[in-house]
Amino acid sequence: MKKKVYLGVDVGSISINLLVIDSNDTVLFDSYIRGQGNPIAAVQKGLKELEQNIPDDVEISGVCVTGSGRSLIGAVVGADIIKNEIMAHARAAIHLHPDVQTILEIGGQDSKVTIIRDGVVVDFAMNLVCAAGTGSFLDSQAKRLDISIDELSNKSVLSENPTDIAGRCTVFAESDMIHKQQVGHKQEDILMGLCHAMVRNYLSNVCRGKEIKTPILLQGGISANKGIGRAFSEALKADITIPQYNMVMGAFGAALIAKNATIKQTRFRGFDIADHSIATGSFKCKDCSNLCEVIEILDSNEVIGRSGGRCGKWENSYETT
Amino acid sequence: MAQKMTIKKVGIPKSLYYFFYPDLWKTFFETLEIEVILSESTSRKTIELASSVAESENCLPIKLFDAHILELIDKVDVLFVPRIISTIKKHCSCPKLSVLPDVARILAPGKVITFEINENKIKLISSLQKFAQELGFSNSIAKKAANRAVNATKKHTEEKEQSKKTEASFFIVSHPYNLYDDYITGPVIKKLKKMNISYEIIEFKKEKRKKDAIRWDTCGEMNDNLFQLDPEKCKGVIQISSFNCGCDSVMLETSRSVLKEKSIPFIVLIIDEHSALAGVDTRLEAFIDSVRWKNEQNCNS
Repeated sequence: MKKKVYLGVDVGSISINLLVIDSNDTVLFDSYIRGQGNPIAAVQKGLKELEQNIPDDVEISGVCVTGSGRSLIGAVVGADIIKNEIMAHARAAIHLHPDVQTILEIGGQDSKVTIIRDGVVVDFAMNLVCAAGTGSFLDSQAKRLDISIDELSNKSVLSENPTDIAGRCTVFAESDMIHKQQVGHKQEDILMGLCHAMVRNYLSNVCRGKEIKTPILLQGGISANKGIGRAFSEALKADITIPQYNMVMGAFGAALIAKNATIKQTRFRGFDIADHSIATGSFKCKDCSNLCEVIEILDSNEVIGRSGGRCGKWENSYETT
Repeated sequence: MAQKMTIKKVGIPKSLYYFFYPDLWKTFFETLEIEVILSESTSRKTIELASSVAESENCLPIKLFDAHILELIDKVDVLFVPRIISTIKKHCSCPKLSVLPDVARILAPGKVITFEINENKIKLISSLQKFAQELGFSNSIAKKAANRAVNATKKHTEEKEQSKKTEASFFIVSHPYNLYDDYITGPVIKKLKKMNISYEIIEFKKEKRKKDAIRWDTCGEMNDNLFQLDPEKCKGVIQISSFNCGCDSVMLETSRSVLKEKSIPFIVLIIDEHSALAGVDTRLEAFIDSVRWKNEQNCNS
């Protein structure tokens, strides 16, 4: 009999992450793929890689999809469970660090803080409409300085006198940064200043009113950035732990959720969907004045899922719970 | 007595004061034998119109008011827009509500009829009667219209109270114009139903309240309701707040502290015209999950 393994998929705005665990919670495979605006192609690429890299004697016995694109990709891969990313990140964090009390998680478009006490999520908060306190802020500033995000990470921690940069809004930050460049501040000081600005922004917007206790885990795409870790540590005057699998914690949590659920027969559609031609289409429902945009997912011209629409009549094949 | 105006059709926007006083305005005007035209319920169309005409710094309900008024202008003789100063004695309303007729007059010059609702000075039933007289109706007809109108809204509240089902585990609070506008609250309710969550929506009774109560009428009632919640029964509170709401910016902190004291989980959902439902979905799912998780833990230990 084949060994049972469980797949977790995290579909974020920047990356698609896949992770597979066996029934002993050992990680057999993990990948971080930049989605570049096409999550379907990215997940197909991820599945192909996965197929090539896991042993032959295993069988995917459960799939959980999380992240902001969870319902779309859930339909594509055939998810057994579709779970919000806050719970997925928390599961993984508690699994690796049972004593964790705070999770700081910054993604591409979302940033969240999750408060945990005694191994249970007791409170959380997410950023509002603006992306100023999220990963895209650093991405766009790095682009503006014409350096890679890795360089930003390595250079920022060399700073001895971080420059003060207004970070309330990316537009203000940019003009402030240009000014600082022109008056001759060192690049590493400007970079560290950016990290401080972002962290300050995140702490005052997302974490307002939250009791941040140690141990504190920093996870999500941005946790790879050394400057951000340093900025958090200085702002909170506390040690910041970057967990193993920091980049793919959402997918790890999803895999754990899939494993712990009682799934009799997985709905996983198999590795060969990587070769299918999967597309999305949309139409405007004209049945009422709401004129909802309904999204359809088509696998070789067959509708495998629909979403959108306020009344719910189009959501036939997959739902988020 | 004033010259009786010949009003055949009066337009009432389905926003703000329409939700404050259910059934009241319709009953009032119909007793005066004036046909009532309501604007259509808020839809995507209303939201789009609102964001194209309204000042961007305003809160969503005020923007929607503009759109509802615009929709009605060509369908009616006059638009009814009261000036709301206070809906409960010794309290005041959101200051934006006190200039609604002025705003409406910019949109529909010469078409606005109004009267002042100020329970600090004069009871609604009396001001309504005066209003009908000003419109040219006789004392007796004016009195009849005011009585019927006030009774209609009373009846509505009583019926709602009686139809209350078993005790709910989650409590939803917001200002009446957010709560009773399906377009705003609909996605939240739909999500809760999908997750099999029993919920209850706050009722606004406009009754006399304690001396130390918060003096903003709807905020105060929300706060009183939160104070009365029983942590044994109430598993969580969901507050819906519109982006840029001035009252809420001051009052959310009090909700937070009242519920913290009671150890009742609390979440605020911010709404605006961009209708980012994904955000609401994720937040609500995670909120319900965390509450369930906590309860499971408590049961096991």
